[in-house]
Amino acid sequence: MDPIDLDYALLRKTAKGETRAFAELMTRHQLRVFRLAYRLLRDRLEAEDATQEVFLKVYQHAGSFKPTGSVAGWLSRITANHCLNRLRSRAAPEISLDAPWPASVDLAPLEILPSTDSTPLQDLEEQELAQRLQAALEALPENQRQALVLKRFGDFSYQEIAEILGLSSSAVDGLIKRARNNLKKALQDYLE
Amino acid sequence: MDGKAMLNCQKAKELLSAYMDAELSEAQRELVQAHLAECPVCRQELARLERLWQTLAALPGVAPPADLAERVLAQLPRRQVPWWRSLALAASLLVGIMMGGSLGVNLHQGLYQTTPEPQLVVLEAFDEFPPASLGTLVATYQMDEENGA
Repeated sequence: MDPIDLDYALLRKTAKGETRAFAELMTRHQLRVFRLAYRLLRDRLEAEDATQEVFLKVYQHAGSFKPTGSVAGWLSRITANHCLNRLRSRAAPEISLDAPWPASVDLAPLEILPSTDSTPLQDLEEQELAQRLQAALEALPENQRQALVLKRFGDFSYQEIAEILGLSSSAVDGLIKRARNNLKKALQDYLE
Repeated sequence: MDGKAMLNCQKAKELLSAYMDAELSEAQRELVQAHLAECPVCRQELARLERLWQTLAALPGVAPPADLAERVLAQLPRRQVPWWRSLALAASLLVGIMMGGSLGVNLHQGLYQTTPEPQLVVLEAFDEFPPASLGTLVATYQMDEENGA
């Protein structure tokens, strides 16, 4: 069965309360949901909680899914909205969206785990590059970081990111462009 | 001078990010492509951005806990059974109990009734003589004598 059709079938069964289908749906998508949550929240335990909450929402609202897009896209959208709500609820109100993430907020450092994918970051030099890129990503203004993460790890269009963040598409374009330029400057010597 | 020649490096670089994300209009995309075809500096800039993008995607990942799905399943709310389904189940049980009770009473009476007539019926059922035969009459007579009738 086509993966997209399989997702639809699993979601339909989930809507009828079939927990085995729901378990399979989770197995198929939990890695992507968790990684998006982790990139947005920057905290492993919070990402675990958020992922569980996202799937509970999926179970409860499986019947409301409209097959106008993919199930994967729907899951990413729920994940993004859920994580951004978490971020908003924990952020101090006086923090500007343009300001870098404040050091006073207690965020566990990102845990670098061995990648399960076949990546170009496999030798020592590239591990160092990964750490530099990670640090540069952390140093981005929060709104740039969110827009970039939604694009890179959520695979959303600019219009979708605009809807998620409550911005215009042109504003998202500008945020992603500036985020790329900032990362490029931070890794200038590597990229030359 | 045609429209494509009007895109300078500065403008092209501003469009490269959206170009990579396939977010440009058809006309803008053609302008950028035309500029890239003639400008090695902007091609190099695009190559840098693409390498950065690939590196970002290749950042070491994190894996969810192995029991994440089990944790979610353990938290699933119990589905509410509609009231009419509960009522139908209760009614079915009640009818079943009543029918079972009635059957039980009849069976009990059939097995243990001490009046001679049902006893004769039971004997007939297990007797080796055909009903209303001479043997049956003899057996009935012997029973009546034993009962003191």
